[in-house]
Amino acid sequence: MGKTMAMAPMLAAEPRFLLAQTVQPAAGKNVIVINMYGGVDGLTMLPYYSGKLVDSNRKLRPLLSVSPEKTLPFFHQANPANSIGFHPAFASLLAQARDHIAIIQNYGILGNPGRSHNTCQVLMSLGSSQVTEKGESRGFLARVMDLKDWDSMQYWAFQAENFTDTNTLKRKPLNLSSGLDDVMLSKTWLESDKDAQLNWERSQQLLELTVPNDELEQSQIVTVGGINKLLAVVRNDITRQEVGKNSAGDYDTSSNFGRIIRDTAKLLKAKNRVESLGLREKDSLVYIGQGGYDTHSDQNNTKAQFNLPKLFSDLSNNLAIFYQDLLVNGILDNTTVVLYSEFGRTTRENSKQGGGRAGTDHGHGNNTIVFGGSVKPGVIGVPPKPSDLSAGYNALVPKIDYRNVFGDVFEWLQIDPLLIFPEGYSRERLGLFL
Amino acid sequence: VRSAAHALPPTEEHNKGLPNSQVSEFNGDSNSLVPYKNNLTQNEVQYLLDKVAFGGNKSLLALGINQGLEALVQELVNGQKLTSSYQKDADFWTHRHFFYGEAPKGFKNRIWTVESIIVGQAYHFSFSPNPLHEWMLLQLSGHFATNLDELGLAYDKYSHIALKDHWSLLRKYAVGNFALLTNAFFLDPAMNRWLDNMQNHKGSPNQNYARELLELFILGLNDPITGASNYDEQTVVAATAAVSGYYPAEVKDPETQTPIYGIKYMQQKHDERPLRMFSAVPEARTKKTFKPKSFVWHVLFKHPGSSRYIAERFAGLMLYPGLSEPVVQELASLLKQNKYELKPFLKRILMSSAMFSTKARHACILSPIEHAVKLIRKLGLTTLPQEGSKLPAADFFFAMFRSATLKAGQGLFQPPSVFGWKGSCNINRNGVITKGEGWLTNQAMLLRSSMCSEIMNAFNYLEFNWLQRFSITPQSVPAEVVEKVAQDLFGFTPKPDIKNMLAGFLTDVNTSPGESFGETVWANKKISRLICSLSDFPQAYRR
Repeated sequence: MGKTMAMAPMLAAEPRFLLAQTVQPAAGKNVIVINMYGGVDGLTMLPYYSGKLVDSNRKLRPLLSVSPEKTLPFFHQANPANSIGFHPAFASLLAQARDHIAIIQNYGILGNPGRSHNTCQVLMSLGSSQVTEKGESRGFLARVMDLKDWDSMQYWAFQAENFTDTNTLKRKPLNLSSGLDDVMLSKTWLESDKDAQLNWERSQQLLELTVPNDELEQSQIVTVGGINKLLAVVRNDITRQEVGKNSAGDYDTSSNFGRIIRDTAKLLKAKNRVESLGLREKDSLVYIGQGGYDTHSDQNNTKAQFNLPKLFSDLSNNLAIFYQDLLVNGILDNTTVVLYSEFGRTTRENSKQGGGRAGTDHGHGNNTIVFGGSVKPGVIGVPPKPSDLSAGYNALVPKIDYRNVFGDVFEWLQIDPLLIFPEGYSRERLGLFL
Repeated sequence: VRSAAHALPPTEEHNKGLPNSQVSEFNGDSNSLVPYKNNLTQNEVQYLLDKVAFGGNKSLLALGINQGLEALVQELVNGQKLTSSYQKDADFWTHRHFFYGEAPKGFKNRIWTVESIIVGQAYHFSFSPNPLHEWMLLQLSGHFATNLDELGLAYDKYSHIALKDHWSLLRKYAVGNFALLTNAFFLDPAMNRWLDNMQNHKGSPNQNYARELLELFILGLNDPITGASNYDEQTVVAATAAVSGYYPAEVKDPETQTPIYGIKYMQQKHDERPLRMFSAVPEARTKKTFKPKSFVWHVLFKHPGSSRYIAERFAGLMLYPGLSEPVVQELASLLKQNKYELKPFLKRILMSSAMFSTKARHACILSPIEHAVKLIRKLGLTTLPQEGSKLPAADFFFAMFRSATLKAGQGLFQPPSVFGWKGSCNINRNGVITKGEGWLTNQAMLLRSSMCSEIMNAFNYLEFNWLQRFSITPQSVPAEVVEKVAQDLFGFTPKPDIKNMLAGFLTDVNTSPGESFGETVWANKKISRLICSLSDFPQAYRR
């Protein structure tokens, strides 16, 4: 039995716990990276609820700051003077994973990357801190895949907006815009599964006859090979089955993120249980993009299409169920989830309008979390000073290189981060893992 | 950050594989904007129409063949005046997708919806005699990316007209003046709501609009040669002040006199502080008070990066990504000389030697909408029934267009973010040259194939006459049918083994018992499937 299960006695009442006992514990490791597009406001996601920072934050953000009374406390921290907690929308995730979450405070791209979505997204995708003259077009996740000579089925990307994240040199990752539902939908125009099968067989035969004239055509052939593997998984009974209820609830499939994280659970279960896939012993990477965090306005307006309470609830509720799913299926100890975003937001709110209409503009440093069965609970990094919040820079200046967050994750995967990140990267262990 | 040129796929190598290449065609100089020869081959005329006009139409093809390049380009750029019957048909389909539910008082149960403008635009895409104008509208809607579906504008009793206003702006300026279009967006409710500028006031600066105006609309982040920033954070603050002062206000619809959602400018809400901007760019460096529109003019005419950025962005889409610096600079000067009128710019590019170079040929991946519209236009659908038993089939045609292109990743007027759709054919944010590889993900390819099938289903529902369209008789030889369809629609001849395999599919009775070659039922199934098989080939999805 894995160490996480030993720490979760409440699961005795979980019907699927019995199932978990019959499931062979996972062998390969899984890393799920969630890119929160738009620049999430880390000071709202993970607010300070004690000390002088509370007053500073309230002055700078009279309309938007989260009150200490509503902030969910986090107990694994040694700095009671400036305690950091969770936005109330994270109650469900915290209830499940509180002993396996690490908070990283004030991380980001060091130096002066500017505050453009473009630049910061691309820099983070490349694993760089400045745009280099090299014109690198391969993101650091893609480099992991190449370095380890992974099969296309070992890297799944959902809603990867940056071309570089999936731009491998060798095999191409499975690159999907959304969850598996759309893959199934794409067959609906055909009269039957048999027609669908014939259609794809013909496509593949045709492409096998095609002698590629350039790398784009070569890429297409590789991609079609990936599609056929994908369809094999989609047709698999394991992936068809609903993940269903567990003690944390149901996935909220009304949201893109809910569908994608549900499908991620399906894939990880298929990987672990379906021997014919040949993936059980292998490590895997899942990239998920979740948009909507560019909250220049309506940051707390629950009637707006994108607002932080809604986005955080979507994230937290679905991740809580995901956590429980991994737990009962014996996959949790082998899985680590990393949340990140291209930048934080301005420390001052940008409007005097009430009713939740105010927002924040592009900032720099940020707070985030990493969780999983092997993650050591705690708070990493030092809190900002009140004067840091009120300074003319109007943003946090990051002290932790975002690459060190991933550096710990790569070491957990037994990959040397120095082989992944370009020159100029200074490795410092954060101690994220048990 | 140009040094990524190594990433450019070797288009010339690709084109060597095209079986119909002839020495006397496509021999333009990829680095020259001097006019190409006037007398074009049929392949060259069709190529130009495929490249920037969704395949054009029969009369444009004939014009190019008979009268040459100059006449064709004049016709493409200047366009025809739309006839009243054409406009009436376009209005019929647009209005058919108005919201007809419980409309607020005074709206005669007719409310603009995102669907109505998508269907209206799909009509123009498919049938307009001015396909270049429609193609430019598509590119501009990606450049000034605004997701109308996410705005919550539809069904709102005041704001639904904003959908129409946004669409009308793009239609008005599709080949008009880029600078005027940029400034017109200041009063566009949809754009203002999307980028929060109506909340950008003196004392409450909201940087969203100013930042994207500089970064995406008129300037770009960096000088691509030196890598230096085109502007700094201080400039973003100054630009935010310069474009402030707008607020949402109820105005009267000039047509119906009903209250609608509008945008007004108020001097008191404008931040008039003279703030320092463009410190590192001597030509544009200043510290003075700007009104929103004068700020746009300042950037467009004083900042050397602005005309360069706009020229490269649009010329790259039309010619090939990764244009040489002299070509870009020549086009940038042309834009400024003509005060950002697009017509002279378009004419220079379309007539250029570079346009007919092997480097430009098939240099970009077709976006899903380009792919779908090209297919529709080249199949030659001329009309849609507006009444009678076939009306549901016409409705189905638009429904298929809307859902299939959305599923394939390019929802019209619904780009996923301010960056537009992800498969652009240009230099991307990292300075890397892309040909639209974003459209070649597993799911995008899967759904593009599905999109083709859905459009073919719509044609079948309309009882499209495949046999007549491709002159197929029971005596036709299957391999010749394959070649004819491939050449006619996609301009290539499949290699013999592929041709034979597809010919075998046409005559394979096992998958379709009871049908024989050359019958209507057979044609509906087999020809439409054949088209979608061919449509998966690289020669079919590149332009």
